[in-house]
Amino acid sequence: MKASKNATVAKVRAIYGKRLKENDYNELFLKKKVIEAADYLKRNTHYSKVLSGVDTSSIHRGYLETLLNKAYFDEYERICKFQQLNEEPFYNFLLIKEELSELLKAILYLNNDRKDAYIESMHGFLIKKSSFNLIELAKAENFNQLLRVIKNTPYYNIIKNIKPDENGNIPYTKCEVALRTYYLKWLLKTAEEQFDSTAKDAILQQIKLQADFINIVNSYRLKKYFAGDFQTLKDFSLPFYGRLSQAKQYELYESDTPEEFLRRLSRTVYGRLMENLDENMESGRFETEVEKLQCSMAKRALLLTDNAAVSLFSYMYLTEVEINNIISIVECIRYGKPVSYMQSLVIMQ
Amino acid sequence: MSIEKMDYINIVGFMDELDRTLEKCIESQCFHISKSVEEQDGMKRLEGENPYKELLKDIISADTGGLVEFSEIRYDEKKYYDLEKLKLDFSQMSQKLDAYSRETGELTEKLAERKQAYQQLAHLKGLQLDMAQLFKCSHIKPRFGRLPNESAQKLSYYEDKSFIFIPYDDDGNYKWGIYFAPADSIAEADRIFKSLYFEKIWIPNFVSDTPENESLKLEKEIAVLEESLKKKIEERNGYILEIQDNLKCCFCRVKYLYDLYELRKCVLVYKDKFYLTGFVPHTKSDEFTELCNTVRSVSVVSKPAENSEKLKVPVKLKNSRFSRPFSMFVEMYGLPSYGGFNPTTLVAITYTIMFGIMFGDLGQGLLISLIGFFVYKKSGNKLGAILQRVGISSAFFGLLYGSVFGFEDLLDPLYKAIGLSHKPIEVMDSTMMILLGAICIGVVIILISIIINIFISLRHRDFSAAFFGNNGVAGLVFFGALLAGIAVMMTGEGSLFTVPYVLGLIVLPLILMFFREPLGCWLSGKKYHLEGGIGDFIASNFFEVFEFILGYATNTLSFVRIGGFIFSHAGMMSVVMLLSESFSVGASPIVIVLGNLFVMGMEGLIVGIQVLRLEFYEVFSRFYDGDGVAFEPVKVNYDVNVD
Repeated sequence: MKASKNATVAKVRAIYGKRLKENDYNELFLKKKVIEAADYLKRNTHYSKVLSGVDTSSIHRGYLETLLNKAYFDEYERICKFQQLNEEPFYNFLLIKEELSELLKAILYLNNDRKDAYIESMHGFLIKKSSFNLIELAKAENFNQLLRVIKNTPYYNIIKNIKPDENGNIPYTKCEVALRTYYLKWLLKTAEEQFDSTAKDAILQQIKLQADFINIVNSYRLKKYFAGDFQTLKDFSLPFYGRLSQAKQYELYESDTPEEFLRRLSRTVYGRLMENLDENMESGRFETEVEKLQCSMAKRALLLTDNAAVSLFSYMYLTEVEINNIISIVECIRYGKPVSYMQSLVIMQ
Repeated sequence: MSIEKMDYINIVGFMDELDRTLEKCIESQCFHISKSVEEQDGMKRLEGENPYKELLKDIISADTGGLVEFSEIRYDEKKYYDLEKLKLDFSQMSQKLDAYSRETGELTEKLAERKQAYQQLAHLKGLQLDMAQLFKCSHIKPRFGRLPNESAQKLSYYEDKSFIFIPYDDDGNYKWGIYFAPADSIAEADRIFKSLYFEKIWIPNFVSDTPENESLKLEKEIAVLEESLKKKIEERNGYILEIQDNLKCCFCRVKYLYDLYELRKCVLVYKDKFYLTGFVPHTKSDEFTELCNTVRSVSVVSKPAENSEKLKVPVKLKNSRFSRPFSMFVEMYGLPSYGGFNPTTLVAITYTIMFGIMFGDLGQGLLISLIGFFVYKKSGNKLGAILQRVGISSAFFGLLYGSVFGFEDLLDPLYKAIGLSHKPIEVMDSTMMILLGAICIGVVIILISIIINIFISLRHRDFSAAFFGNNGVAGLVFFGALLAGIAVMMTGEGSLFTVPYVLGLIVLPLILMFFREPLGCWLSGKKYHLEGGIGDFIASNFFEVFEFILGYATNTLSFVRIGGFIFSHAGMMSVVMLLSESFSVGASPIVIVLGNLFVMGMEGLIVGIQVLRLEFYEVFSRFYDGDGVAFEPVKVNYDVNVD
């Protein structure tokens, strides 16, 4: 069984080898129109297959994003089917992640009273795969209707007790923390049950690493934009600890200012690994630096592991980063942003 | 077989003669211009945008449909001397080319439109509708187009809206179809479908029949347009062929002026005079001065290159006919500095011998040499010339090993004829001799490298390196004494390692190496400054000397690979022979030929790389810096790249 999983590890590495390189990004930076960028992706990158049936000379930016996201999910399904990994519960992780993401998106649009906008942004490829009816979710006009749609899913119990405020607004952040916590708990529980000790340790490490990074970014945002105190940061953090222990995380939350937060972070294991961490850096740059570190750790895990779960988990994260890079570049091209700005947003692997 | 002697040239003249002087510099083909001269004493560098840049770019970017390749050609200088006339000429050609470009572009665009319409109508062929009737509807509005399959799944969300989508084709990515909506709600339907990335298709205004019939009409129209386009392209190509020589001449003339102007960036100016510096090979110095003196106000001063003060003197290697191609390897590592040592001959000899020893086969060697000959003849590639030489060496050693294309007994009659009872060297029976021989070759090469370093260091008055360095006299004595002692011990005729021998020839050189820096300063009459304290001095020098000793051992053993490859070659060829025996009589020669080609390709490449590695790591690292600047005479570069 182990040997057969190694084939997946090798396949994932081979697919990862086709990722966009610095040269591709440099070419994309020089494009003046979205259609030129789409055409480059079609002719020169591993996205050629997904874009093959598309006329890039008239492609809409939104549709390009949809196609890229679909390619991302299709790739995941293809890898899982390669050695019937899809028959094992853990390998549903991306579907669950996407479902939760749809659910949160729907809540966000409901709060903003833009119900029709949700159907436009919904990932159509999930309609037939999702464990709940996405079209019905899009039709929901309030939180109760939304809960009815997900009644038969585990997500119902997670958010059923969250009450909308007097204006009918659903507390989005609470929902997000609850659903993310559920997702991570599910990952940990499934990994515990499914894998033997070495594989389990390896994948648990990756999951907790991801939780660490989510906590660092979220708590920094709360500190920077809402001057969140210790209790607020603690309430909105995910109860998982990887290389940053609970005590260390609490120490960060106790910072009085965002600058102090960064100063304290620089003394942690992650801070020492971040090359350009500076207490006066802009929030956007800080998040890019965190993502860069996360990316390099995922890349390291992908290249060194012999475990299919770690391999796929890391690969999907790295591909997500790549797609976000492309989306950022396309947005920048659309709004005529300079190359230097694009470079600051892109995380090269 | 050394480095060509250079003269340092200073040219002074009036500004109005600058262009003519630069022309003479190009004409001489032996003037290396100094680009790094600093502005000083009120002298300014000539700056400014090249006035020929735009014209040159226009010529290069003229739409010639890829039929004209710009390169150097001979042209009548008088005819193209008048730049205004050249501009006028080019402008006429350019206007006509632009007109052709516009006309073919319009036709191509029209054709593409028709083809697109034809493709789109192809999706409507299943629709038995009278399009004219459909377009006449006043209360219901139709929209033709394609909807991504992803989006089609979202349509059920809009059940309560007053539109209907009818698909009539599916190409895997898109559903092709029509949506209808009442006239008063078509705007909303349009908005929804736009958000679902529905792409409307263009139905030509003239469509009045069924899609099938309209497709037939378009087919005919496309054929007519294609014919027109073909004719137009032929007409344009004819015109391009007619003007191509003229265009190339314009390019050459403007490129000449452009490059000439670019040289101005190396010129310093003071008031109305220009100053130009550079280098010319000593042998060409008089000729160059004479040529420049034909320009009225110019004065040329020539001095030995050593007087060039801060400027780095360019290097032109002087090599014999045999060693010339091997300069490629030397240049790959970096040229020697002016006044340094040109190692090309050493490389040529050692590379050829080592390659021959490692890849000894009479037949393969001659074949490699032949291939090298043709490659060099055809492309002028220096690697071809190197192959010629190493192939001969390989053939010679093949003669000693008695190997011809892997046949080990083929040369036996020859040996008998000259009175030998067997091959001079039986590879598989002489393992120890070959390995020890390889080490001996290594020792000789290392000793030669050390001696060269001693001479170079003495020439540069670097006494520390010459006498006390690991590649100096101390190193030579230590390495030589140690090897001599070991050699005598191996012969079993006693031991040289007596106390005075060890103390005087092994320990003393090590002590000298340990104190090489202070001793070097003392010999040069300089004061030695101890940096970092005595502890630091002892620690760093102890480890450095330890590294030197390790280095001697590893560098010597590195040459064992020479012997290793002799066995590897013999082994690989015996595998080829064994394989050929296992095949039928008919297939056996094919296996031998393919096997030989494989061994020649793969092993030849590996041996070539390994010998180069020995040259670079074990030889060059002992005495060679490779920080010289290549001698590049100013010339016009007729390529199409413009900064």
